[in-house]
Amino acid sequence: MKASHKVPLSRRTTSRLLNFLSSTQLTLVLLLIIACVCVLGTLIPQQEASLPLAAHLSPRLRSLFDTLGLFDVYQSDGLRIAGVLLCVNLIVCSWRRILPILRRPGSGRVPAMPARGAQELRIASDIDAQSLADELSRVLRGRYRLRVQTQTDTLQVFGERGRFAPLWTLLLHLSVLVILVGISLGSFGFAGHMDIPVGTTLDHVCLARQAGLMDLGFDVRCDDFQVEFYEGGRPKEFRSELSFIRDGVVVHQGPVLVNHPQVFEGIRFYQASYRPLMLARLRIRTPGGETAEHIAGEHDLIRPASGEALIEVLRIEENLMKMGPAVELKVSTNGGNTLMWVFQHIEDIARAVPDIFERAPKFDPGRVPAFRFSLEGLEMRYATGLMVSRDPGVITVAIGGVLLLAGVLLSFLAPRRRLWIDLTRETEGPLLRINATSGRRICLPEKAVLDLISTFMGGHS
Amino acid sequence: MTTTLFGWVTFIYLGAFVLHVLHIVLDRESFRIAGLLCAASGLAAQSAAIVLRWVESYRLGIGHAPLSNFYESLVFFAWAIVTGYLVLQYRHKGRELGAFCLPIAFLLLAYASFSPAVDSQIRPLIPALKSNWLISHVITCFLGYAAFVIASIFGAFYLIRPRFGTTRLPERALIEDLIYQSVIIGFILFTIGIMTGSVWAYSAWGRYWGWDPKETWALITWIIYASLLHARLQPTWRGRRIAVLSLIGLASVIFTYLGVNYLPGLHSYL
Repeated sequence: MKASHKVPLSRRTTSRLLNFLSSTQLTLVLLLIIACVCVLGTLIPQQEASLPLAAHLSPRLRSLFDTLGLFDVYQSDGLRIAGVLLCVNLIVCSWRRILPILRRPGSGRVPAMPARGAQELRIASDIDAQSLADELSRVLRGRYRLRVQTQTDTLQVFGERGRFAPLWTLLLHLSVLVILVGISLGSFGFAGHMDIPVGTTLDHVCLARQAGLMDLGFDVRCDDFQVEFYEGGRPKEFRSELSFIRDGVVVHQGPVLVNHPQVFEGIRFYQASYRPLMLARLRIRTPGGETAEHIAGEHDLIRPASGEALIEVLRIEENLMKMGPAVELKVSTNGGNTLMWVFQHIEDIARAVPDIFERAPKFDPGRVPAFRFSLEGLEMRYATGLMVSRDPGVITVAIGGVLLLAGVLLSFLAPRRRLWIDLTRETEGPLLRINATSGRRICLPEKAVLDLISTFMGGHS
Repeated sequence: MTTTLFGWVTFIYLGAFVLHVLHIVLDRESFRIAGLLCAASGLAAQSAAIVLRWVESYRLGIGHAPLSNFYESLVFFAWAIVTGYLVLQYRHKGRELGAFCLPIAFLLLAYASFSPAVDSQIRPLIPALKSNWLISHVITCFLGYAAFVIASIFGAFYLIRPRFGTTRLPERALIEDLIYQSVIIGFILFTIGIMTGSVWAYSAWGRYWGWDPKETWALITWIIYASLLHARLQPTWRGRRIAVLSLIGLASVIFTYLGVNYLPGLHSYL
């Protein structure tokens, strides 16, 4: 009489949950979800590119798209949840696989021969089981771990090669986990861009995702920018010469080309773009009587050393109202914001139109009390466009990539091979059953084994 | 000069295809051998033309591997498919594969050689393409694509076998095994292709992954084949479903190669 053995409900639930979390079905569903999200991401314009589409949608549909994160699917909660679940799936699956692999004893129970794909050979009755076993041992020695059981007229041979091959699959799965961890670490870094006109210095980056400015803690000066073209107009090379300056001292210098970034204090600077830029040379006298020259492009900010004002260059015109070069400034002081135009040839203009400052007060270079602005001239220069980034996860991703490559190569090119050869006596005569697997796939036994058996069959195959 | 040579290779592949079709229709082994020799000579001529184009680019003072534009990618894709076919022919004696691989190689080369939309001139490299990663990235990706194309042909074999007559095509179990083996080769090569692309993107654009449409579709393709390799472990997902997945994978490969050109991105050929 068998004793009834009941598994507690909580253990059964835990076991079911673990089965679900480690299941290949869950892997397949998660991969399908990730693939579908990626498809949506390529078909629906993302982030800034989504604005024209969003403008065409009805408010309700736009709200639905926003709620589902369809305008930024790669950062959406849905993709993050799928990623986290994939990590859980990989961890549970790996944990459940690693224990049996490590525990597997070398001399435990011989696994049963798979019925699928097994070849059955009815053979002559005079086959010698012991000599077949000896010959198989000779042919497979050094390559397979063989376990042979012989009796007077029966034989069981089990050979195994690459016993630790399941570890490679484990390595492959863990490498995906390492890459996902590396990607997550990347969110602690930043990416942005800098447009630096030649000869000028910049100390901040325009961040790409957070849409703000980030102080670098040092200055970057573009000493030179060269662009070369092939005959026919295709770009040949972009090259920026950069100086990295800390506390007024150049601490590092070097060129940046496409495919050849510069690294300074863990931050990487890449050549991304360039543009011709009109710059204004402004002379500004502050209330303290100090005069300094500043070179600035449109939307640049100027902070005079005395610190009483913040000046933004709004527009630069080569010939405003046929009165020559002019610059529109927004001057912010304690007294508020003042908009004004500064002309290069203001003296000639004032001579030609004596009441110009009464008619157009904005043209008065002394419009802001105690300040004096003059435009020395305009000049065209290149501004180099640099992509700037720091990704603390990149080393982890690289390690994950190497492990992934090793895992893919080892698990597919060095799979576990198993070989079964059973000789049994039946009423119809001796029966030889042969099967082999490579990984989980049924395959043909090695040619040497087949040849050997064929020899033993002696034409009875 | 090399473009003329590629034009001739196009017709050699057409001839090899016709010979393979004759072999199927008339069931005469001599046609198969003639088709095989024809395909092998076409591949030799195409390989020589690729090397000549490389040499020619150095003579023009440009000097780069012929893997940098749409024309050269079509040529290399055709080369990879025919190479894959001949390797399989040598290893597995797959009798009917040529009748399916060769027309694809013919169409790719014909489109490259005769479409006015495809520029066959050797052009100098733009700065982003001046990298040692170009060769390894493009070669591994296209060899991977070729293996996936061959896997999908086996997938089609599997599905049509009951209607095609059992004697013409190998056993279904063998076909399924060939799908699996082709996918494994493609998966390994394509994984290396994506990884070399990531390293290159990190040195050229400052990020190893940027969700560019080409990158995203490469990931989708990779996921489809990863799913196929996992699905095969499920007892209910053997056979027909694996064959269908290999065809879905092919659709994804085609979109990764050609479809994304119609989406804005950094990899566009057009």
